Amino acid sequence: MRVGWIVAASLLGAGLFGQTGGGGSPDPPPPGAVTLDHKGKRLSVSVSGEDVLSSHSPTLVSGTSVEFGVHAGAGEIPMGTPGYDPFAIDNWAGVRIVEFELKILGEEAGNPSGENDPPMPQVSYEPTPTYGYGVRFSSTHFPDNTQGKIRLRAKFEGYWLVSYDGGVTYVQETSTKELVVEVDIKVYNKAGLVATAVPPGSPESSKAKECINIAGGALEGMNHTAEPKPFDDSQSVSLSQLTELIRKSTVLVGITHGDQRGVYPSVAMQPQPLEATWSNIKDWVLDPNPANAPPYNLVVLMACDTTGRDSGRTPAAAFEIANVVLGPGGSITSGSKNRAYVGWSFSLFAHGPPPALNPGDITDLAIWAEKFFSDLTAGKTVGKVIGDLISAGVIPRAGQYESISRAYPRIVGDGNMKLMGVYGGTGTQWILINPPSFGGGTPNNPPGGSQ
Amino acid sequence: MTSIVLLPVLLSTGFVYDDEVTALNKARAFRETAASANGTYSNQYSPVFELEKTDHNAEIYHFYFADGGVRIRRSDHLIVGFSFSPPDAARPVLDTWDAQNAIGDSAAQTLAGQYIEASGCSQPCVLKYFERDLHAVMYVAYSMTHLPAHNSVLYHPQYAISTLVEYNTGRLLFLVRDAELPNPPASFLTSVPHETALYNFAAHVFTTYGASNINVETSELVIWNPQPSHISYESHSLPQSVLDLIGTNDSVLVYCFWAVQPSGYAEGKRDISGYGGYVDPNSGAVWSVKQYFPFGGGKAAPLRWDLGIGAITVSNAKQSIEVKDADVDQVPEPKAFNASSRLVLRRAKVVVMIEYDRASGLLRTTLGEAHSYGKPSPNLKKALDRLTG
Repeated sequence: MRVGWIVAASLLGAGLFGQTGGGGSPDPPPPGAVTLDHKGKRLSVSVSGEDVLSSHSPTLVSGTSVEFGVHAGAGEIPMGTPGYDPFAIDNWAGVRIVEFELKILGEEAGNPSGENDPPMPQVSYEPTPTYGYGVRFSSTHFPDNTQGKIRLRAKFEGYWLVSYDGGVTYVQETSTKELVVEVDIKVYNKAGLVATAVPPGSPESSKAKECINIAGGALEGMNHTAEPKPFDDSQSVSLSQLTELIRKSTVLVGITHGDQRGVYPSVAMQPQPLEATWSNIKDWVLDPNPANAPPYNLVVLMACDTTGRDSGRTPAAAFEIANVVLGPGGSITSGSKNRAYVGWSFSLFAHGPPPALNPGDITDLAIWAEKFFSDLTAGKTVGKVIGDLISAGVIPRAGQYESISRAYPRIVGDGNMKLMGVYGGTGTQWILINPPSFGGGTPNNPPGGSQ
Repeated sequence: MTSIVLLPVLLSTGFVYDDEVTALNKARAFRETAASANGTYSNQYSPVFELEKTDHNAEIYHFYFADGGVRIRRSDHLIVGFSFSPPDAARPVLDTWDAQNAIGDSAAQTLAGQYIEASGCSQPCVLKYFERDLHAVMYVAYSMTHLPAHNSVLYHPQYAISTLVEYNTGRLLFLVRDAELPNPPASFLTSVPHETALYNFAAHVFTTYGASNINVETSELVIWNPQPSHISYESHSLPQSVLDLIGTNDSVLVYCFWAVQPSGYAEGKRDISGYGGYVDPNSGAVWSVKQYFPFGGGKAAPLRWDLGIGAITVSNAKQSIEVKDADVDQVPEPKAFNASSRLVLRRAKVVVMIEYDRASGLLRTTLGEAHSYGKPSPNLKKALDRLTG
């Protein structure tokens, strides 16, 4: 679905700067681009990429890998273009881009300054200078529903020669022109929560309440709108409410009853009919509300057997999440980049002992949940979070002693997925300029740096 | 390689104690061992040695690296936790085991043993669980669980050493174990046979919780240092001498059981309950059975006597008989059934609490108000008659 900024920038270059024949008025600029014929040059600024440009305005942005390209350039005006006088005395002979400012939702983001950032716009005059770079940022840096603009401003400075004394002495004069392009975006990070309330008064019910409050609080801390609110209401989610939550959300956290066929809303469990089957869930996901809702970033289903069927591929596929396949060098050859599904292969148990009896017991599901979500909040990848939990020995009671693979959840999708901090970035760093080729890296060594 | 990177790391992390340096060096050396499959396989990737952060506590050094972590016990530098996510790993999505590229079961088990030894484990270990896992966490790997033993008796399953070995390189991806092994018990004498203990456990589960058909996943005589989380405080008969072991590092022998009650026969359904039990190996008394509740639930269905294949063992509180090639066929409810004895029938991990009617030669199991009747094969019937005679 998404086109990387490199591709988008290339297309943009061909569209805006490749006009060489025919003359006449320039074609209408594509969305996200502004062009202006000025002093014999065609100036342009653009923001490109499907992540931020869509048929719906504002474009909804979600997750931690919102990618786009920004570009500014000065090109030649095709001969014959109405109003264009190639011999005008004040036509710019050379141009340089002296300022290039990118703001994302009001935050200045793109002025290169780091040692790994691209060089500043060229300082020497050129006939047709161009400048630009790719951007990847985390939408979870901003509160959900933040609406505003990606704004690119570039200032061009041109010079022309003025002749004195019968053409013997030439004097250079300069002027500047500023162009601005804006695209409208809106942050869309919604977390749906469902927790079991049955059997009433049971360990599952009380542990689900504890865990869902942990998850909800952490997700709010990661700038998600988490529903239902208060989080205790997650224990009264009906099937129809679950349907709507799944249709609208980009994150789903369930602490409920489940099996290989699906999961239950709050007040149902086996042997009652299971209606939130993977098949039904897939139908809901494919019919999002709003229609332009972004795809799922993360699904965590703390329930029995939620990856018990074909290693979790079918359940994950219900949320349109597929295993990332890494090729040589850690490049992604297929799968759902920066999206992950987490579930258990076998029975997941509610206990925890009473804290007073065994404080800090690492089998407590609530302790697992607290560490899982707090580590996500710290900007770790989901793969790193799970790895650290394993090395720390935090093991919820699941599959009882049999093996790591049974005691730990399976991750389907991309182990590099992050919910806080930019994908491929370090910790909670929220933006990368010219990130490595999209898709590189591994859970603990993602593109662009470690955790 | 370790010594080359050590200096700049220490400089960057400021003052560290000598012991922490030693522990850090061990962590790095172990990472090298893990990444090279103990030197048996050549890999292009070297683990990251630069320390990312630490999270030590009073007992444990916890070192974080960009591609994994190591936890080391302070007292003796035993490695108790390890994770390694090599970024060069081409992570295939497999539907079936890739035997062509896999290192092989035997090599994987050998490597796991070497990793455990390199971690500092000095006890003999027994392989208790082995699986070729197509999707272990997010890897294709061999998943293994070893239990340390003393005097040929295993330690409680909480002391299991779990390892995950990458299927095609042999590299160690994860190692987890409990930090402390308790002191062995003073006496290793037992007077109650295992099948008797199992009978008592199963009978307790049936009478207390109504579960007549359970799958016993763990059934061992073990060295046990009781933990509060093991015990059903609502109802237990642990003697004070055993309760007094809580919070100490001393242990006692115990028969340890973990069983689950499966739900019905519908596709995809999971366990209804789990039961963790402890039986005194000298008196046979059931000390504690704690019920655990999964996020699965379900409703038990009457047994259809589809017990699988293999020998069947039947036992009462005093003796047990193993019958090879035995079976039970489901039969309709008879007109009369006079239960004469309560027995346990076990095939592999399936354990069924049954009642036997010598007169009709039929047996039954009870689920709530419902009964499910079966007719034993002649050789099994003979064993049942002997037990109930």
